[in-house]
Amino acid sequence: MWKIADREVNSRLLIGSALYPSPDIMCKAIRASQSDIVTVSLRRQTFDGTAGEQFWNLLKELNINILPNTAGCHSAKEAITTAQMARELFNTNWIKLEVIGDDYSLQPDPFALLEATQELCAQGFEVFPYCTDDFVLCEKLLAAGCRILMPWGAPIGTGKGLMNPYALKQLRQRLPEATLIVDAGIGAPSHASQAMELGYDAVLLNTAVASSNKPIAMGEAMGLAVQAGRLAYEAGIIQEQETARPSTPTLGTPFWHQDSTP
Amino acid sequence: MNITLNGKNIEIAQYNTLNDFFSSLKEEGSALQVPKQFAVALNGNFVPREQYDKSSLQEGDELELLVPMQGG
Repeated sequence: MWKIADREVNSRLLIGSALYPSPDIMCKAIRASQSDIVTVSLRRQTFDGTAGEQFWNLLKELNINILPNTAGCHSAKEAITTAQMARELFNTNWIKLEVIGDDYSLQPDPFALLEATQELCAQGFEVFPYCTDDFVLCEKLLAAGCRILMPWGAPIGTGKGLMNPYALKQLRQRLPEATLIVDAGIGAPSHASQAMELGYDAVLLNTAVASSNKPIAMGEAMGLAVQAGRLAYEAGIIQEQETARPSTPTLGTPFWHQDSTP
Repeated sequence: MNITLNGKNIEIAQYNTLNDFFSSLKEEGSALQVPKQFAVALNGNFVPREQYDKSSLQEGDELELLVPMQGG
């Protein structure tokens, strides 16, 4: 068990609910991942459908923590209004705060993100800000009241993995008290493991599982990768060396090797 | 009067409160089926559920009715 915000959960994988081939596969993939937290969004009720209600029923079936997002917002005002609506709709003060500044890379707008964070923290939200790996921004988000930071690994949906491990490592080392979650850009289980090996508290991903050929199997793979990475971090990874060192003891080497020794 | 509901211009009767308007959406043949779970913004501002009885619609208002949806 570990604590995220004020809740105790088992899994260190947060998973998205979008892009799955079907609602049934979504539910099975999320269960296979063993994630305890699922991200969701709010959209306009269509004039001819009841999709919102069907999705609501699936969430109830899953019975795990819900993390609503503000995806698609481009200003602090839009994000704040969306967060307020999400709090009422999903009955949670958790909000994954996304304020997009560049539609090409889906890079967060750091200025609007900070503005929205300040307001939402003042209103009692637990803000999970989707941010870049910029240390100054991260420090200001913490000062605004965040306990959790979610720097990107790579642009959303690219599957490129950790584009700047150095910056992510620096964040971990310099912000030891913050809950750090790599959000976005994960493509392979090895990427998720790498983030956990750096000491990140958790990983949030969606496309890597939902767009896989077999989302249920990939959900399980991601869950295991996150576990493996965390175990490795806790165990302590050895320092890299520039020269080879034999792993088999040299003491007692049989006599026929002695002839070749200069 | 005319309002914009979820980005679509519609003509509606005069209603005293948002609650009255939402009740009208439950009637057969309404412009939009009102779901069980939804949240509301009026002209870009969130309207809490307990305010539905105290909020009214004016000509040209922009009403957003949002529902739970998949997200990443």
